[in-house]
Amino acid sequence: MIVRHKIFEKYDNYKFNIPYKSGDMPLLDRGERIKEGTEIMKKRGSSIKFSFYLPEQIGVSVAEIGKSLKCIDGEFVNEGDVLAEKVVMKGLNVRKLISPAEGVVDLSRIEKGYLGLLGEESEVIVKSTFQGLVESITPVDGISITSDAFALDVLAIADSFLEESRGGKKIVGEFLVLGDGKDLLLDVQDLECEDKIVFVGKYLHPELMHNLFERGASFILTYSMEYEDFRKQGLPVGVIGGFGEIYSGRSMLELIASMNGKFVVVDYLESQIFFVTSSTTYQSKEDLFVKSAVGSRVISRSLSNYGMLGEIVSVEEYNLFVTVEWETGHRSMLNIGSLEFVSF
Amino acid sequence: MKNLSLLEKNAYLSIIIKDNGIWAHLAYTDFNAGREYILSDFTDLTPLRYRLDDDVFNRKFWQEYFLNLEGVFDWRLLNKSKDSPFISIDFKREGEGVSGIRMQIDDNQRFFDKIFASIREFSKDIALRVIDDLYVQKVLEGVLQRTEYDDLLYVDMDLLDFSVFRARKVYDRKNNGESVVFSKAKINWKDELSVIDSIMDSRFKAFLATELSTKEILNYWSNFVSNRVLFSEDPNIIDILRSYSTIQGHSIHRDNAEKIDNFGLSKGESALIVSGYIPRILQESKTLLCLIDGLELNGNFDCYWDLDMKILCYGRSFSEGTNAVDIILTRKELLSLASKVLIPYTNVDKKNKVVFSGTLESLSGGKSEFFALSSEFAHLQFPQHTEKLVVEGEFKNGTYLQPSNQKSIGFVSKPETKKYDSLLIDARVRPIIYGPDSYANKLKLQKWIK
Repeated sequence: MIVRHKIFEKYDNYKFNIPYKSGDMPLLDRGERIKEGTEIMKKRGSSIKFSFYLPEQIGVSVAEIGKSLKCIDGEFVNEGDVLAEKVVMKGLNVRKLISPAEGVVDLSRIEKGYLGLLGEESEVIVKSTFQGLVESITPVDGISITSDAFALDVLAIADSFLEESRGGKKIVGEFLVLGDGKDLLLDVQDLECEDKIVFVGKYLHPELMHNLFERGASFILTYSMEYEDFRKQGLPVGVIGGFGEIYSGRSMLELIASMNGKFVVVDYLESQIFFVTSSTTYQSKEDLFVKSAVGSRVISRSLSNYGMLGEIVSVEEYNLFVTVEWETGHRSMLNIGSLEFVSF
Repeated sequence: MKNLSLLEKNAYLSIIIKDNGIWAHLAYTDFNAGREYILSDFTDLTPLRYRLDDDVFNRKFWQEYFLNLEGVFDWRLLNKSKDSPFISIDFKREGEGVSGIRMQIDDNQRFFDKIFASIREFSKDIALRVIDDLYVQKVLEGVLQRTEYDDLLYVDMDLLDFSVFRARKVYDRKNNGESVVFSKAKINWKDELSVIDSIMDSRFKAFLATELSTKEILNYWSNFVSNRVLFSEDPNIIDILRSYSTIQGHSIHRDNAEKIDNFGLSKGESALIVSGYIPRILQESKTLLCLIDGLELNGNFDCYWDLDMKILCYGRSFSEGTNAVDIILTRKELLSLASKVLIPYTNVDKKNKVVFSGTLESLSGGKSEFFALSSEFAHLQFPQHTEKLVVEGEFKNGTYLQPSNQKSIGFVSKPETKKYDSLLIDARVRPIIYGPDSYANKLKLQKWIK
């Protein structure tokens, strides 16, 4: 029997927590029903004025960053102050990171290699994009909410964070889609992505990844990237489709991109992303078990056209081989064992 | 428990959940009518691998599963008289009902507890069992007692778990009789990422024959490991998987040489049972190449392919024979198709020298000759036969089987009890040397496997 992979699996009464810091103020009460647009909390914080990836700036490894820092968390620095430095060429030269403006040093992401310079403090009202019920509000767990959600499986999540996930690490935030989620992007300008979970589309280039993390992204989701890059970096990155330059189903990317603006929870332990929404648009009507191969939607796992999305048009030789019409319009015959049956 | 009657018809459903897959085997016997068969189905749970601990893997899942299984086997299993169908443990006739259902879950299966609980919630009539080392030991010891073999090696080749179990008869001086010695050796990987990263080990390149860049190899391998396809004929993937499997076997051999030593070299008969995901992708010849080189096997043995877990499912029932309390099964459905493997000692390194010359003879097929050449890993497929096939042959040019310097060999393939579908003669000179690079390996593999 063949089990269908439901790209978006609906979860009723999904329970999640929205953490808040000491300066933040929850605007909800226990037992309160949340609607779209309900004010969740008043958040105090400073926006990131500048963010520097130290391994790139002064050539220091993430493990040795502590030794090169010349400032402490929360310190006010002026323009021209040295933030970090590394002695190179046996003491003949020193690489320095100079503050380009005055601001407050933020070392909250230093273990990932990022040093931030914060601007003025401001207040932001966080509003809900979903419906739900407030279960509890505690400083330890944050605001605990139950709501309907859709889960998307993540093929792999960057390793250094998997270690942390033993305790069930979760990242929450707004889902932001770059461009239309389909085109290949190498750089972004003037993008507000602080504390957001960013979907870059079909392929993640390392330059774009650092650019986004410098801008404060809390997690990056991509359809594909090089495996070497994925393992080398150690930043919070999730891959949905696979590794290398693979095909990515247009309609699948469109579907993920349609989640733009939704509230999401990245669950490391489950290796899933939960989109908190009650929308019925994403509910697949197809059964879990495949009754008939013909008409079923499939993704190729054969290396020749890995990741290509198509539909089975006929079954051949002893049910072992099927003819698939791909999104691109062409047809080919494959062994059924090299296909993944999907629905969305 | 009362013993089953040989004269009564019976049907039993045994299901194994292992390595993110469900194997279902419905066995039916009617010895009066000479009918005995096993209907089999495999359901890959890889698409649900992140959800096996979630709400989706619940009572409803099992209801749908058994409803679909009814369709696949064309066998009534559920009682649909109520709103929600439930499992019916009531064997009526061929095609309707079973006398029992047993579900066995591998102790390495992820979310074992959740799966166990979901089945228990679905039906209390299903007997739940765990597949652990002790269970495999009981199966092997039972099979050893019921067959002609004195030495059994069970190799389970999965991507994350590579296990070798061995049960062999030894002379027990203390009791002046025979006893069975069981041993095991295992490699377990933490997760898929560890398996992917394992190929960055320098030893891996020593076995590799594909000439891709490291970047390409990592991308191909990571996609393969992450998605666990059920079929692949991509030569790069096959080669990476062959190298990976050879290293697993080699590591086991290096650390547990004494547990594998002399397999195939004893005076009694030996059998290798191969199971798991990897042989389903690599197929017979390449799997045998991995195992022979990795575990450094020698001598003469039969090889059985338990790719659908039938032996694991019904091995105990078979070994209990007429004392079985689930179903009485004969060897026919479990251990009837084998490959004969001969790994002689040879020092003939010259190309195209005949090291084995043999004949095949059957009543309808007549007599035909075959031979094996030096330095080759020759896997010969026997013609389809429904009557006895006699295979005889002689090693030549200083080639012989250890340990008794045996020069001639003969065996009979009997379709009803023990049928051989192929013969593998590995006439490569020992020790087998791979490397120094992938190009050299490519040439060597071309020379070995033709």
